[in-house]
Amino acid sequence: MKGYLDRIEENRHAVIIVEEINKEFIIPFNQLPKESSAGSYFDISIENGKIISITLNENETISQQQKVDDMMSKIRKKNSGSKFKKN
Amino acid sequence: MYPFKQTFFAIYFFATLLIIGGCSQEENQPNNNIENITKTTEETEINRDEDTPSPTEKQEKATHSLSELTVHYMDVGQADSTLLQYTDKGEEYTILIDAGNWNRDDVIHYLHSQNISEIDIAIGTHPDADHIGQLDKVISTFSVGEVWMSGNTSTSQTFQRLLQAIDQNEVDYYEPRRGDEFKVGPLQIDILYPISVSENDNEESISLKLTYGEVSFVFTGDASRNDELRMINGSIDVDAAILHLGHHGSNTSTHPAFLKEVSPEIAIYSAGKDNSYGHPHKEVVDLILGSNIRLYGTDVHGTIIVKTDGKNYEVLTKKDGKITPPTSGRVPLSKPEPTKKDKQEPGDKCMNINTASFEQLQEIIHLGPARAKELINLRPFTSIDELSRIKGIGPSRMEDIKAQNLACVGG
Repeated sequence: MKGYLDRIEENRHAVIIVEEINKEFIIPFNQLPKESSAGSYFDISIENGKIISITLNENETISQQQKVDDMMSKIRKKNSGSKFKKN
Repeated sequence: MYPFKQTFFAIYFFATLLIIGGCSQEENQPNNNIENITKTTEETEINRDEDTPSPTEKQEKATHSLSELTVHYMDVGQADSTLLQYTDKGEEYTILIDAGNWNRDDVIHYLHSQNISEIDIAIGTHPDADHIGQLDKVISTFSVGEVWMSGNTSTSQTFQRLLQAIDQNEVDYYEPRRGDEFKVGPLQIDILYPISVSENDNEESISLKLTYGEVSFVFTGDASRNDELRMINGSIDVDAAILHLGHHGSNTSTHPAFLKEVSPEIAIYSAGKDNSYGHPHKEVVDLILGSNIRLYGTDVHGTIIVKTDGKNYEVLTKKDGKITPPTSGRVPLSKPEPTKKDKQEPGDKCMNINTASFEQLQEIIHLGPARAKELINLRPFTSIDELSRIKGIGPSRMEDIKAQNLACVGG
């Protein structure tokens, strides 16, 4: 299944989100595939509540980034200011 | 009202529950214990510092009386979410700062429990899933006016659901920047950070100072120590009574120079019990306690509520507890030790209210500097019941004072 590296806490804890099973896993940063960074998508296998294999899915990472860029530029068009702003 | 003995028992009982944990998977149960916060543990009246800037402006603000502002630092596990509620001239105001973790629904439950229907401003300080977690559900469940975000992005499904929710609902979107000022009814908001966003530093968080009358609150999301130093380099005064500690009390935040500039009386962090990161870190707990700042954490106290009328404030917690620095980086406290200031061993000590010093009197529950001063002016007292002559000491506070079993009259 797919995993997502949401963030790295304290420079050593990798927080991996697995949407399919609504869980997050925290593994040592040095157990991630090389070239991983926050925002990377992975193919992972889970057994007995643990990640037993993890490989980088670069295509997924790129295509998700593209989706976010498109949505973000659409949303930014709404960036009309705040009605509470003073200055 | 809770008799003091029960309270004391609660501290002890709770502390015994704090067991060292090293789980690799974060807890995933929604927290249902989010209602019925009734217990006052502290009441503080604000000391005016002589070097506090622009007294005229402050007096001006304080001239018309404000209704109560309630700030809920929600217990949402290893995540962040804070709710502000107040009314002014018949209008209700609601602001949400962050929305918990992505795979829980505790923020939604809590907002329902507070009968929220509209939210004026919902802020995602930065796109990490433990901060914007339920913001998409907040937008689709409640009527949200504006969403503020830092401008940094994430490619998580959580973030994408949030963008869809903003797109599909009638909400305004704004990316605030340092120096922006907002007036939300009687509440003033000053943006401390970011100055701009770099897109490669996810910790760059919207940081803000909220001022209600004379009482200010600072929130910094997961801002790093370097971000904090940049905040105090600007022209905005960061001084605040209540500081929400950055990054769940991690040592990546709370630079001593920043803490000194904010100079809070109360520090609050949000962290999950036995979390995998050892939050809050020992250095931060030591720094806060060593600076004589009262420390509260959602892992120890549950949801923490601060109520203020713009002059005085009080802190209410669901659970009693004392945060002590762990002996190593990640071991939680093991033994309760009531602090000198807010807890006393019941029954073994008697403080003569006719002779106690101004400082000593403030060890009595509900007595801050102003009430301690009034007490001294009203001396002598022939019975504890006469403490009801002090402004603000009603029957329920009287009961707390008696339950604390510290105040007595000489004899």
